[in-house]
Amino acid sequence: MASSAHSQDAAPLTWRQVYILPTRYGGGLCLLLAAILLGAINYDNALAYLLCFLLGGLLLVTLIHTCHNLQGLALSGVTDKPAFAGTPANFVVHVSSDALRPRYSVTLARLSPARRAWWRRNHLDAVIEVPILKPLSAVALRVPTTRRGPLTLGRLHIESCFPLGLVRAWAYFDSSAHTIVYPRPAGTLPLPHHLAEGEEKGLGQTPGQDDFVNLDPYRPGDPLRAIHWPATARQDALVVKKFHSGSVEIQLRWSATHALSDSEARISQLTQWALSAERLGLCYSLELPTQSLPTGQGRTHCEKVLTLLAYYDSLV
Amino acid sequence: MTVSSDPITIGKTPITPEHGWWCLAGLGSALAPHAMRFAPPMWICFIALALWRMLGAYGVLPLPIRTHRLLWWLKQGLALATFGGIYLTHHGQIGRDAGVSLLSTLVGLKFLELERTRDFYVLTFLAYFLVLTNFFYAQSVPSAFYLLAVVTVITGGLIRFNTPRDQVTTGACLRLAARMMLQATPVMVTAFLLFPRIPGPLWGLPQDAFTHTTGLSDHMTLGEITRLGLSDEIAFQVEFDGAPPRAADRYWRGPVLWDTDGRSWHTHDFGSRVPNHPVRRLGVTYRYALLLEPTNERWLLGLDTVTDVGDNGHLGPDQTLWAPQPVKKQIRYALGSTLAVALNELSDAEYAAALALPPHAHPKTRALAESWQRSGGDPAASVTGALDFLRDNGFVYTLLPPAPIGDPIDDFLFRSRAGFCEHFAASFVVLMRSAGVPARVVTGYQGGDFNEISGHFVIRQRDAHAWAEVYLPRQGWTRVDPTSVVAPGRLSLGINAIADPRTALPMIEHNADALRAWREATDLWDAVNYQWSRWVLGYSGQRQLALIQHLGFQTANLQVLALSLLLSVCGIVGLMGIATLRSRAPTDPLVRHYALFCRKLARIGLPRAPQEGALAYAQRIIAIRPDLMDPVNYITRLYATLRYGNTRIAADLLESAVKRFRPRRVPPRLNRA
Repeated sequence: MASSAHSQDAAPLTWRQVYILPTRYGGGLCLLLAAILLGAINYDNALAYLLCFLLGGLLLVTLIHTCHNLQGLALSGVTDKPAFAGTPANFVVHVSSDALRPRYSVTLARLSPARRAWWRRNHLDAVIEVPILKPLSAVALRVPTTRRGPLTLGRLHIESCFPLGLVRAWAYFDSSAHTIVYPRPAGTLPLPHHLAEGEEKGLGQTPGQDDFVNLDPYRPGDPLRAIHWPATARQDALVVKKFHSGSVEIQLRWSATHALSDSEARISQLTQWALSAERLGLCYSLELPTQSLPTGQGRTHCEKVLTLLAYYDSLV
Repeated sequence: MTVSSDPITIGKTPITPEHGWWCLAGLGSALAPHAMRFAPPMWICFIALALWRMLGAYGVLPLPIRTHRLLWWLKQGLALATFGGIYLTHHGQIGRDAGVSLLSTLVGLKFLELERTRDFYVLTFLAYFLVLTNFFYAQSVPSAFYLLAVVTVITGGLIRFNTPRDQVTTGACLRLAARMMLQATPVMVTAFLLFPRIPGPLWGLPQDAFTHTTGLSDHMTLGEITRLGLSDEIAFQVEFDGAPPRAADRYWRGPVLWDTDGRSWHTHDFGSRVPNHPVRRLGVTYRYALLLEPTNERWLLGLDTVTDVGDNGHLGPDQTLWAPQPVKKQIRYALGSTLAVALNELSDAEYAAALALPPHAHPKTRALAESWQRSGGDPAASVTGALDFLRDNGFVYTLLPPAPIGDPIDDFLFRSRAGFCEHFAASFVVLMRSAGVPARVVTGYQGGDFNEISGHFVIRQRDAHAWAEVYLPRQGWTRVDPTSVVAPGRLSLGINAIADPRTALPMIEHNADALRAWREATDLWDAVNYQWSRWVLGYSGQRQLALIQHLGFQTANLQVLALSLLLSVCGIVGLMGIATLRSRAPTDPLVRHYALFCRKLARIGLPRAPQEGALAYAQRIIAIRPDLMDPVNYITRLYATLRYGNTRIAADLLESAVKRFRPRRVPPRLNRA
């Protein structure tokens, strides 16, 4: 599917935009420091005092180091790729830096829209840990999708506990990047008959099975019966037979899915058909109660059909 | 470079064998000094558990994880057994030693179950705590620096745990740890100086809270000072305010021994019956500060005779200086002493104690002294007679006298005639008492080495000495050192000059240059240790008060200290933060040129909002100022092309365009239209 780029040359993060708090291990160290301090006071032991203050100083210095690890990073752009509902949408996030030093152990995630109480950690999805972030890096976020329609990336959460794991620094990037989530291809209804040959061909026979062309890897939407089982067994991956059937034309009609009661299931079925038709090299048109697309073929046409299906509001 | 991976939970690093080694390095090096202090079972147990875990990490041995029932129960049993063993070894006393043993075992068992991220942190914190336990045993300069290195290793382990293994080397982890500790030093020093010192222990200290000390005790058994005679350990160190007294006058007074059973000598408790006697000063008063190593005894040492005590303790009737409580840790106190004093008063109780001898002891000695008494009876003559007797009868000063046969005093005076200060002092006092002259034994130290580097005196255990005091009718108590009659060098040259040279290194014994170099090196080492004791170990509430007053505050109460501590720590961290985190000019020339473009626009009141993209910014500018459309569009497009086209070839185009760009605040009249 087509990917698009969102240029987003935001200013680099300054320390004012970086939040910082101790982790639970940082809290553990504070308890340890309290114990050492008690020992130092009780035994009046100068070196115990020094150890306590050295570790305390280390904790304070870590604040600076951890903040420094995020400071200067900027979101320079996002490339998105549409996805089918149920499969993760890939957003490639380009992170630039105002300095050449690498950043270590950075975690990038998408801030889930679900709100949480302020003392709870943010709810994150598409979490990815980047061991080393070079000055110009691209990080692929796999955002889980459940529903069709538009998907905005929204707020990105970037955090790091480097170098001691005792404090966590985090910051947000606001991104306007968005992508389309196509409906989930599903449904068991056979592809509608093509117009040219009328009713002669039975339901069991899918149009375009005449001229076998080659074997292709399985893609969502391919009909089960197109799978070439012997080749699949040999290659450890699903393989489908591809046919060529000239300019056979079919109509994908909303009314043809009347057997399915649920409108989402009908959309899924239409998606499945559209993908199968595209796969089989047919010409197809889409007819929805409110909108329709003329007959066409090819990637662009398929994307138009899928986009229409993705945005279709069945309640209208 | 595109990084992509499947979603994983944040902050869960899998434990690798390398993490195990780092953990072990920290724990092992923190425990190593304890290995010398405890019985082998303790560290053998730790090594065995560590070995088990590391072999398990490589899959050689099965680990006692929860699912492995048998081994898991074995581990629990092992834990119980070691706890029981420690309980029995320390006879049920949970003090310092038992605590440390228990902790070491716990650490070994915890290391065995290093499985998750949390375990790694817990072990790291335990390693830091083990470093602390070392300070309850040793606070010397070498051990402090060793443990500093241990803390670096432990911190390096934390860094290793939080950095990608294939990108950052072990050396880099340790260097970063060292750098961070260096950066933490200002905070450490400030907090050390300003943290309010709360006096006294918060709760009862265990019996074994302090290391066993060697040194003088409140009793003397003939032959016992030999143990000290060969010890190079420092007893105390002294810094004089002005010129120090001569070596022969440097008698450091310790406990005074009155009571004897014929073999050993003890202090006498006069209770409150005997008041302090007035002391008349006959000479100049020396002022000095004395840094005393822990003795676990209540008496303090001072230059004979102490006349100004201050609030460091109180003087007993026999001029012994007593501290309020036993000296459990190094203390520093200032005193004034006068070499020549008149102590003329003697109470009845003291008179009786100063003449008491056990019945039927030392018959030959008594017979000799009684013969002097019969011939003259003058106390001064008896003193002279006794000293003449010691000088003229071939007495030998040796630190290794033969074991006494029968009555020790009679044996020394009439048979072996070989001994050291305590033999001479005790025999002399017995002679005096037998002759009817009140006498007592004084123990302490004599002499001391001058350290050229820091200008202070070091008095070691081998400088321990015993001498006598006799009460003469007109002079009062008078010091008589019978040892000086036999070994005059003992006083002027110090004990090294006459003792066996076994303590010196044999290969440099006859090489004057090497000997001098050796001496200078030891002087330097002593000086370092002295300053360490003075400024680090001996930093007390008093010193803190002086520092605060020096800084200009009137009082050093809790509020002043807490406030100044808070402000200075915040200041230090704030300054370091500013130095590190203030925004610098970007290193990328493209970004730098573009930043200049943004600054120029900000100057005319159109700043770029944070998070605003370059294109969005350009659109906004053009909407507000259509007259700037061409240059803004050109620069922005050039910048975007260069930046995302990932090419640097035309960076100078952007540079010149930004240089030419001179927006003005007020739009000029559009005369071209």
